[in-house]
Amino acid sequence: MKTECYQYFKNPLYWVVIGLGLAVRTVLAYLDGRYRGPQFWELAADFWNKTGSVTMGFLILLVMIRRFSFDTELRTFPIINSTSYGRFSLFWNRLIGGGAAVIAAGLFLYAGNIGISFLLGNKIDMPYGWTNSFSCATVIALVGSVGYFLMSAMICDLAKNHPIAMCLCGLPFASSYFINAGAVSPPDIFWFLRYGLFTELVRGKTIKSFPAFWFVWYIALIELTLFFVIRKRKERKEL
Amino acid sequence: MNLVFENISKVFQETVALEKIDLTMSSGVYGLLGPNGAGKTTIMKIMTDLVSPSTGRVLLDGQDIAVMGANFRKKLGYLPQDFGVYPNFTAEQFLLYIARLKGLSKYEAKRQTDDLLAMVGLEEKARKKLKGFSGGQKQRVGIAQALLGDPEILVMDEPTAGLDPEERIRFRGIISALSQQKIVLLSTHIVSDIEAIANQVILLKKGSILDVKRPAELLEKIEGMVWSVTVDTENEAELIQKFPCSNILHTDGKSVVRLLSEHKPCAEAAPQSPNMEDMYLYYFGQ
Repeated sequence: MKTECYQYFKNPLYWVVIGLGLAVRTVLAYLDGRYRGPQFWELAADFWNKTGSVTMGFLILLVMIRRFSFDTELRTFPIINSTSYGRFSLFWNRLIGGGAAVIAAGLFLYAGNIGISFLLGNKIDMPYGWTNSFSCATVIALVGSVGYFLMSAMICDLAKNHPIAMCLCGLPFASSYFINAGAVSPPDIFWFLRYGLFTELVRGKTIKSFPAFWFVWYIALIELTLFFVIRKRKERKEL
Repeated sequence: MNLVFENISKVFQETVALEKIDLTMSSGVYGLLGPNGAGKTTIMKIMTDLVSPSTGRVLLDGQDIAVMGANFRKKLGYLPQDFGVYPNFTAEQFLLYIARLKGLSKYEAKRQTDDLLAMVGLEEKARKKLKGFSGGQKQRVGIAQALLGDPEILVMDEPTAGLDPEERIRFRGIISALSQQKIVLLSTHIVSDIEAIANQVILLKKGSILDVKRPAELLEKIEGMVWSVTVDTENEAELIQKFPCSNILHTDGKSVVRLLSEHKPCAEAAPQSPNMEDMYLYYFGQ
């Protein structure tokens, strides 16, 4: 597991995406401080809603899930698959290692946002309890990001094709930014797209409508995807 | 230790790749010989548990390899015919990674990686990224990864492809040294490699085994059937149309043609000692 976790951190793109996310946040924080001073801390707390979640989405889809298809793309698959621990245990280790790398990325972004906000907003009074509320949003975003990573990684493992997995997981993720939460209601498909694929959690928000349903749904979604992965791996002799 | 193929068949959609293969292998080097599409790669993939047979099973000391799973793969080293590497890894990192997947301890992985890189002549390139390696160098990395973990069963598909003559000789030496306690199966189109290192040759044609014999026995079978004829260039075409031809040498307006024929093909024909290429032509020639 340690080896697999290390492989994520060793990937320069992992750091490039995090760096770009924080660079965008720096520019936005500078502009917020200059032109929207009174809302500076409110906007800083809203980090996960836009910049943070988009960074996380890019990180997961562009960089992290590729590990689940690149043995096929690079033709290393027969070598890996003929080793004792190159089948399901490797998949499992990549999943757990990836989960840990997602949490680490979330924590880097969390620390980065706090650092940037303190540096650029030091002349603006920070509201009481800001750190607490941002930390709570971060915990929700981390849970959502790990869930979204697990789902996307397993879809990539099923498809064994990174671009296809990116489209399958990225389109609903992107569309959720364009769906107005106030304008959708159950059992509308847009309501489902907005809440059903971890997006709301990645954006650091709790789901207020039918939370118990979504809790069960997310667990079922991960289990169902895992079930299909196991079935497909059995078929492909990768178990 | 013995490995038994029990009534193995493999059908891909409507194409029969292997048909009722029964084969027992014990320690030694087995050379798999056959034309393209004979089923060599399929037999190797079944032997490495990468593909399920349509019928039959492969048994290692009486146990089904599909049931043994990781316990079987612990004993296995595999070099595929067409494989890739991680371009951003160095040769050392790649071997260490595979060693970890084979379950070697950190210390053992490092020790074996260093030894194997030296064995395949890549110790100076150990810390270079694989994306800069030539085809032959990648092939040597492939050979090294197959040998990690000192596997008891070694399956190598076209191991000498892309190697220069010096490297081929080095490879033969490695395999000969390792073959005492192992089952080594290798397939190649370079018949001289088989002649040099294989204890047994498995002849495969259209998914069926034609014969399993020692190289010397196979050569004995065509003893007295190989002829050399020196003819004018104009008469060359007529001869090679009539008889399977394993070589033509043009010198001073004449052609020296090497033919296979049960009877003396013409008055001037001189008998020759058979080699593995003649044998290949005998079994697989049109």
